[in-house]
Amino acid sequence: MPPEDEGGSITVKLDDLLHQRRMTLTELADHVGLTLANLSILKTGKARAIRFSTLRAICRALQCQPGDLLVYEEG
Amino acid sequence: MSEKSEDALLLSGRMLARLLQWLCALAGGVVLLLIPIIVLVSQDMMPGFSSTNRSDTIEASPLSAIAIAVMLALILALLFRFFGKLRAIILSVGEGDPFTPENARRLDAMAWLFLGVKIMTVLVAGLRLHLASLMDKGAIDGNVLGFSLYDLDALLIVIVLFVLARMFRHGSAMREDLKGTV
Repeated sequence: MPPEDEGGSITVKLDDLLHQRRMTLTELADHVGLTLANLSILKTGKARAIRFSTLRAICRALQCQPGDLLVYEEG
Repeated sequence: MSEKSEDALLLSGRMLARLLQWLCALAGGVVLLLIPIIVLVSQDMMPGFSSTNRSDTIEASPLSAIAIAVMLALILALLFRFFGKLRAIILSVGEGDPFTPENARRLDAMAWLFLGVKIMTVLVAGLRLHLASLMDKGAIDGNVLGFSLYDLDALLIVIVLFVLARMFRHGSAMREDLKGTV
């Protein structure tokens, strides 16, 4: 298991990307084959981890890079 | 393993744990009832009892006899708690949610309880030895002094329980991580 957080945080920019792509969370859920509940957890920043398969599916659906979706912010 | 055989295993485990709890409670009650009888016999207040070998034992050292009874009651209380925790763990397995911090704590407690039982058993054996020496009949039986493989078994059980508790703690932390994984 990874060590406890020591300042800094990862922010999920899913909301911004969806807004730019004029796409709803439900549409994205249909595209990537994830449940709306799981995508909602990711969007609200409550997720503790993200699978590569999920990241890959979201990047494919939104035509973006992982760095566009996840941003590290100094705490 | 099929689901049916798994259910039968859990059901029989739960029933056995419940049965052992009842037996511990029953035996504990009997042992507690013995304490006033020991006091009465030691005060010569039960004449019908005075001619037996047991009364010799009590008269040799009533305090030791009472201490043995109290410790036996404590051992049974510890075992009662042990089987209660075992039953709770089996229940959680049946509910499909065994890797919880609560079960890790239960396994830890079970290890300490079993260690307590083992230590109390040694103390009871010591007191029996003391009583036997007071009676000076050379009738110290092998069970008092003998070392058996059961002693190693008990220590092994304690170690296994502590290790299992650590595994469950680790497992519940991993499960917690998995919960938030999308």
